[in-house]
This record gives sequence, C-alpha cells and structure tokens, in this order.
Amino acid sequence: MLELKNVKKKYGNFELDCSMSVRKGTVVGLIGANGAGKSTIFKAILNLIFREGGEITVFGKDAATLTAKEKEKIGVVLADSGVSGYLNVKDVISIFANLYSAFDREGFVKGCEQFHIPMDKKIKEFSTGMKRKLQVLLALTHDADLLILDEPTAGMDVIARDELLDMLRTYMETENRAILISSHISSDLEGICDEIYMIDQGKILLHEETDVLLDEYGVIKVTEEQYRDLEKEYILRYKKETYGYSLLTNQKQYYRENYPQIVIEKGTIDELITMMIRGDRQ
Amino acid sequence: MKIIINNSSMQPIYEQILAQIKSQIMDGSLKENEMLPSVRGLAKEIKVSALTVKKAYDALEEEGFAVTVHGKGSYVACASQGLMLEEKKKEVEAEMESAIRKGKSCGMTSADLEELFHIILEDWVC
Amino acid sequence: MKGLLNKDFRLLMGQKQFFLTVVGLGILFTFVNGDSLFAVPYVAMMMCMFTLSTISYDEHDNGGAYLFSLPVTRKVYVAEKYIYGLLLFIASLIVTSIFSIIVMAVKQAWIGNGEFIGVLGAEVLMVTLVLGVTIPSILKFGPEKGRIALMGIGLVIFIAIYAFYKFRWYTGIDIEQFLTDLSGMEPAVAVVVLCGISLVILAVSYMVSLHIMKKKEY
Repeated sequence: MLELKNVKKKYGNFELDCSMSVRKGTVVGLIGANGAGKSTIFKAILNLIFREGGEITVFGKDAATLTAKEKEKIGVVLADSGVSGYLNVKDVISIFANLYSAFDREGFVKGCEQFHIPMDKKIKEFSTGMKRKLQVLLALTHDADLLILDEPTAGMDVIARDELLDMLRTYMETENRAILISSHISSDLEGICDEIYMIDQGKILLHEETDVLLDEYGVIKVTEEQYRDLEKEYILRYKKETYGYSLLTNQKQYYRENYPQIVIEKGTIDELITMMIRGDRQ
Repeated sequence: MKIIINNSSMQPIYEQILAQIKSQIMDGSLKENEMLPSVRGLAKEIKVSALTVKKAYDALEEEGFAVTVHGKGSYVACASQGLMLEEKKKEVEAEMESAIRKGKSCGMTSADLEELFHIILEDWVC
Repeated sequence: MKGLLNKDFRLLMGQKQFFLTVVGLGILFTFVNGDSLFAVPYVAMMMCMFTLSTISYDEHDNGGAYLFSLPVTRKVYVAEKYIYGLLLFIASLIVTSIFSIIVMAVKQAWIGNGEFIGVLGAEVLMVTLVLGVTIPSILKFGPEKGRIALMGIGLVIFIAIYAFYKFRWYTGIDIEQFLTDLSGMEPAVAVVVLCGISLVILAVSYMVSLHIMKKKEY
C-alpha cells in the first residue's frame, strides 16, 4: 500500500536514506529518537517536502502525483501541525464534510462526545492532549484506507493513549486497511504493531516483526569471564558495564538452552533500541 | 474466549496463545465446530499484534486443531479431542524414554526399570 | 475548493468584531469626510486585507503542513485565494455602492454617473494590483517577512510607474492618448476595458503564485 525505496533527503548535517514498506492489513511502527528522521519520512510521503532521491509509492502511484480524490483515502496526524486554531469544531465538521466525500459526521460527533471535545470553543484554546484527540478523530472518520500517524499519542495521558490505540485496533478490524504509526514511546507500539522499523540519524537500523523482537531478542548480562566463553555468533551489540557486559542478541532461545546459568532478560523494545543505537558492534 | 498473556514470560507470545487455546479445546471449554474469534478481534482483546495471533492460528491449523475457512473464520476442528490425546501420549512416551535413558546411564538394567515402573503404578492413587 | 472557501469564510466570521469595527469606521469616515464615495475604496482595501489574513491564518503554527495532507492540491489552494478575494471584493462593491447611493440621497449631493463608474473602475484596477502583488509576496515570504517584501515591491512598482510615465516617449506607448481615449469612451466600455486589464494582471499573478506554491515545502 505504501512503499519507500532508497528515499533520500538532506537538511544541513542530517541525511535521510531509507527504504520501508507497509502492506495492506498491517500496522507498521516507526520508532526512533526525536530528530532521527521520523517526521521527515512522513512529510516526504505526503509530499510536504520534496525527496531528493528514491521513490515513494502510495496505493501504487508515485506519492507526488496523488489527486485530491486519492488523498481522501489517507488519514493523517502530524506531529507539529494541525487544524487551524482559529476555527472551532463545528467549523471543522462543516469543512471536512466538504473535503471528504466519505466523512462520517455522526461517528465524528460521537467520538467528540466520548473524548469530551467541545464544539464551540476555538481550537487554539484546547490543551495539547485534546488537540491530539481531535486530530486522531478526524483521521479516523472518513473511511481512509491508509493511516499515517506521526506521534499520535504525544501529549496524551496514559488512559487517553490506551483509548486511542483501541480505536486504531477497531479501525483495523475492517479488511484491507493499513497504518504507519510513529512514536518515541515504544510501549505504545508493542501492543498493536505487526512490524517495527527502528530509525536513527536518518538510517533504518532494524526491521523486524514485533513478536520476533519480543520473543527472540533479548539482553544478556554477563561478567568478563562469562563473556570470554560465550558464543558470539548471535550477538548484535555489546556494551561495557560495571559488572562486565550487556549484550543484545536476536537468538535468546539459543543462549537460554546452551547457557542456562547466565542472566537473560526479555527486554522491552525501548531497551532493545537503546542497545541497537548505543551499543557497539563486534 | 479468555486468553491471558504474560508479557514478561520468556515463552513466545504466540506459543502462549497456542497452548491456551489447545488446553481449552482439550478440557471442552471450546467445543468442536465452535468458531474462534477473528484474528483482529482477539488481537484487540489481548493487545498484541495481529500477526502474532495469526501465527498462533496458523499453528493451530497445522497441528490439526482448527480449520480456517477463507472469508469466514476459524473453527475448532472435529476429532481434535483425539489429537490432543495423541499429543499427550507422545509427550508421555518422550518422558518415559528420557527416564529410561537416565536409568540406563547410571547402571540400572531393564529388569530394574520394569520393577520400578510397576511399584510406582501400584502405589498410584488416582 | 468548496472546503477551502468554507474554511476562509468561517475564519472571516470568527473575526466578527474586527469586521464590525471596519464597517463602523467606514460609516463614520464617510460622514466625517463628506465624501460619499469614501466607503468604496476603503472597504475594498479591507477586503484585500482579509484575503491576505486568511493566508496568515493558514501559515499560523505551521498549519500549512496539515492543510496539504488533506485532499487539497496546491493548485486549488492558490486559485481559491484569488477567487475568495474577488468574491469579497464584488460583495463589498455592491454593498458600498448601495451605501454610497443612500448617502448621496440623504445629502442630496449627487455625483455624476461617469465619475461614479470611474471610481468603481479604478477600484477594480486597484484591488487587482493589490491582490496581484500581495498574494504571491505573502505566499513566498510568509506573513511577517511578506509585509516588508510588500513594501519593497510596492516601492519598486511605484518607481517603475513613475519612470515609465517620465520616460514614456522612449517606449512608444502613448499613455496620455490612452487615458484620453478612456475618458472619451462610454463609461460602461471603459469599465469593461479596465476589467480586461485586471483579469490579465490577475492571471499573471496566479501563474507566479502557482509557481511559488509548487516549490514550497512544509
């Protein structure tokens, strides 16, 4: 549904160079530190910035040539931009009804009630979390086939985040949809993404299915001695610690079976990323 | 369907799902021809990736416990009770083999092992 | 286009207070000034301001990025600004004309048809120039820098017109003859000519704006 091939973009010192794809029926997560390149990717997909190399295809077409009608099938939440603050929600409903032929007015209004979003207040007076909820609601209520969400949970409290993720799960229950979602909070992504791309400094470090990350990746903690005798084949990264080393592996079952006495942790995705980014290669 | 996932466990999530569905089939809480929840529906309930649930469902089908009808969903297969039994028998056989191996490796004879086996069986209170 | 127009009109409505102030001042100045036609150019200028302010609203808080992620193309966005400006202008022209006629009736001080239509025609040209120059300027330079750029461009145009007038002999185009012809024409015809020129100016401006927008990144 969405594909990036060798997409390049330069901003001063920062250079983006990446490839990724989002297939129909999947939820793909993009995770990375602030400034790693997540928003750059999103903006390139939406043709808000112009790529300097590579291809981006959306619904099989070059992303730069999408017509307004085709754009109706994309739902977007951006990290640093939203609906004009000088409008109120009533205005927005009317405008969106004009822009999207499939705008679900009732569904949207119901969502506003659920989230306690006021109809008559100017949007610039909303709290950050409320603005976000509004943006997400807008993206979900026009029968889009592809959702592009850049940090949709930013600024939200834990309960709202949970509600939002649940709405996304419900969204996916209809066939042939897809979501590309980014976050720097990995716990958001663990419970919904089928695949995860890790990005750092404009390059994709890792691309794995979520359950492989959770099931097969792990963090091993060893002393100097234990490290010496350890099979290094499946160690991806290592990091010096006061007790010895912490190691990142993608075959923790192997180490569990062959070295039953050493400490192996499952590792949250946050820990895995930190290791991938900060750890040293062999 | 009540599935509980332990996120901190070392056991892969799809294996946990697989094991729990199998045991529900075996103890009868999931009846033959009963429809399993949709992949996405279950994924939403237990808050895991849909792909993970799909893996579990695929494994279920491969092992013969469920049948997937394209467009409709997955059903608990008939005669899966028998399959569960087969599974358990295989596990018992494997465990017996490893017990025998252990015994032989520390010098017990076949006669010793047989005698031990009968003693345990006689003492067994169901 | 409909959605964008809807948005811009709602933004206008949201500025009700400012709007009413403008109207109030317009009425006040008409009577203070004694010039019954004052409202026409005054309100027309205000309409230009409103049009430009919608661009500022769009750019506010980086809103442009989100705007273009919606089913909106850059081409339609640019076109809508001009159409919005023209709609506002035409509406204001009708309203202020009626108002001026009422004022004249009240004061029993009638202005000749020719002069009246002349003022309207001049307004059309004026608004065209303002919109035609300011829209691309603000699109290119943004609302803050745009204002400065505007003054710069305004100055350049003024100098250009002045120089053109001073050195008209060298260009072979006879302005004085043209103006004489113009005033000699039937007022209606003159207005049509002015409208024609305006449309050309706007068309050129639109091309420039479109070019600017196609290059713009968010």
